Amino acid sequence: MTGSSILRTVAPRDGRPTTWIRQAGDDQVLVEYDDTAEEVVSLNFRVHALLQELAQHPVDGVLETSTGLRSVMVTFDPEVIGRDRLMDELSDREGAAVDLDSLVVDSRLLELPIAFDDETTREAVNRYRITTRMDAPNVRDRDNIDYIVQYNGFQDREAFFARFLSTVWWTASIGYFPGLPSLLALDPLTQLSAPKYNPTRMWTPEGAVGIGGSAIVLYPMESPGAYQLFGRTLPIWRPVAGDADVTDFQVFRPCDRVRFTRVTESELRSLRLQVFEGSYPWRITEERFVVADYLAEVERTRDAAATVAEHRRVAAAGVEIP
Amino acid sequence: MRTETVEVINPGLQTTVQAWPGRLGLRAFGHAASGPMDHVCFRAANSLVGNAPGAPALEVPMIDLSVALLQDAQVAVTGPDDARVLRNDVEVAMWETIDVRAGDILTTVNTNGPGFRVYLAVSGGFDVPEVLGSAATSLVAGIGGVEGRALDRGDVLRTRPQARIPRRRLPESMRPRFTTDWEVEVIEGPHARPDFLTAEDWNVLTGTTWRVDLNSDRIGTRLHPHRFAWARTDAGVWGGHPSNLLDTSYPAGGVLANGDVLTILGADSNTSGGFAVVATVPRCGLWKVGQMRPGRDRLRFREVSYEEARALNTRVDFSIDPARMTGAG
Repeated sequence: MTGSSILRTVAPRDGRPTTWIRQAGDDQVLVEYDDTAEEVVSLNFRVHALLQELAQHPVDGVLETSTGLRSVMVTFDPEVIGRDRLMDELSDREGAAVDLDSLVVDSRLLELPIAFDDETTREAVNRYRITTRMDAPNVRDRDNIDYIVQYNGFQDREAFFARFLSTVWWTASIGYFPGLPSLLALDPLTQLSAPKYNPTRMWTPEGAVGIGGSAIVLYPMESPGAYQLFGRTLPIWRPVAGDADVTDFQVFRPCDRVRFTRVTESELRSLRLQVFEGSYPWRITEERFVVADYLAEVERTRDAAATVAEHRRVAAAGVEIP
Repeated sequence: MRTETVEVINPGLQTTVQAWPGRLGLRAFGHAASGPMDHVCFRAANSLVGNAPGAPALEVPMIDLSVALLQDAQVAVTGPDDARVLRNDVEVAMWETIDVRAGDILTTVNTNGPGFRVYLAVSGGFDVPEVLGSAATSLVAGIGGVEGRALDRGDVLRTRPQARIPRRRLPESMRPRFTTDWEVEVIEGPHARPDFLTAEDWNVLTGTTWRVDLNSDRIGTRLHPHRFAWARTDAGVWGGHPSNLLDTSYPAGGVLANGDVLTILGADSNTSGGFAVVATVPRCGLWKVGQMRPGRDRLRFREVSYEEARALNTRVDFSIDPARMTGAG
């Protein structure tokens, strides 16, 4: 017995965070970056730098990789590559992955409409209040938007909505359910965060937009969920019959960026109808994303971002956690 | 040529078409593999009718299934010892090839004995479209199998053509053992000692007899609540409970600490999330999770090393190797 989940520790070097390789069953290992070393967006870029290196220099026996916000799950065939050898190769790839200031990724820019505080997500919150937890601090006002506003120290809802709309969002990972993107803000001044539901909400409508931790998620299908809900967007998943590629099923791909545009609830209804009818003109642009630009922005806004962070910390400290 | 072979008379509770090893390679897009919850019984049933071990076949949880044969065929039913299979109301043997004729009615009868899922394979394998590389049904995504859903009365399933084989039988000594008190192998991690669970927590995890909650399904097998001590306090803005972490990709078979409720991730589980996976059930133990009856069974976790798990995997595979199936009476 090893008595530890951690198989390898790669010490921090050249400004890179500590990297762990953790055992994850009989055919998987998890490569994970220390989340105390850097903010989460940069950690996620490291994940994508590693994936890029693995794509350019594949390891024989690696069957698939899937991303978390700061980690990569590697599935391998133990008949093809031994686990120790795999870890050697993964350490090599991690070491050879480009530094963030040289990382350029293929990244599509999507534009999506959002209707804030729509009837359907209010219904989900109210249902939770009635059926699951009447006294939950996050649903006391029959919706959880005021809770997000208080937790982040905004003046009012409009200030929160404006902040949400002001940034481009980065698809840090896809998962939980098929086609569900987890988005992180690329604007260092947009430091939204919120605690999750406790216990989990049994029902979330398709298209709902929620926040948990610092990530925004878009729910591709009706499902349970734990993120605070504040609006609704288009359907981003559809079951397709026959011989189709995964991208025919779902709108989002890894490394997509998305910008939201505010629409009214009735406008959203007609846009959603267009999607169901197949006539919606999706606005998607293929681009290259230069991570150095993001890092420069982080540098430029460092002081202002610290002020925002402190303001938010003080606000959050006064708010009850569910 | 493909033929209509089976018509569903009584679909049971949640009978699905499954295929093994399921929908692989799409975890990065949020797809769990799906496939049978008990891959051992599933693969054995297919091998007993001469199919590839992973060919599309039926998974039947507890409640009885009844189907009519529309063509002559060979079938095999595998699963718990106390389950029975009737051909036109006459009991026939499980774990061996059964010759059936057009017009026959096959019914699976589950009892209150150990085990939870029965598998039914038909020669040729069910001819359902592959979606994203697999015929396995994902009820979460609504894809695979028959229209991405559980079977319904009146569904007609086609099979691919296949020559008859000499009847086979899996000897009793080679069959999986069913019980209500299971011992399930686990490999520690990815998020246990030293930075998530304490040494004492790990001893509790492996030393406790866990009860399987009634609220268990193909997504997750939930165990009774327990508050671990944890080697950490919380995850900052990412969550107030020590089991919370920055969202991570989950391993297949992971034992998730969902707050204070341990959940063994099932075939249709979430692929990622913000909770610690404290242990992982290797392939040799995963079939048992598929045979646990919600609300009744109990289990203990037995820690094994990666190397032991690999050896046990080989042993499980050996037990249902078609080469070792004998001729049936």
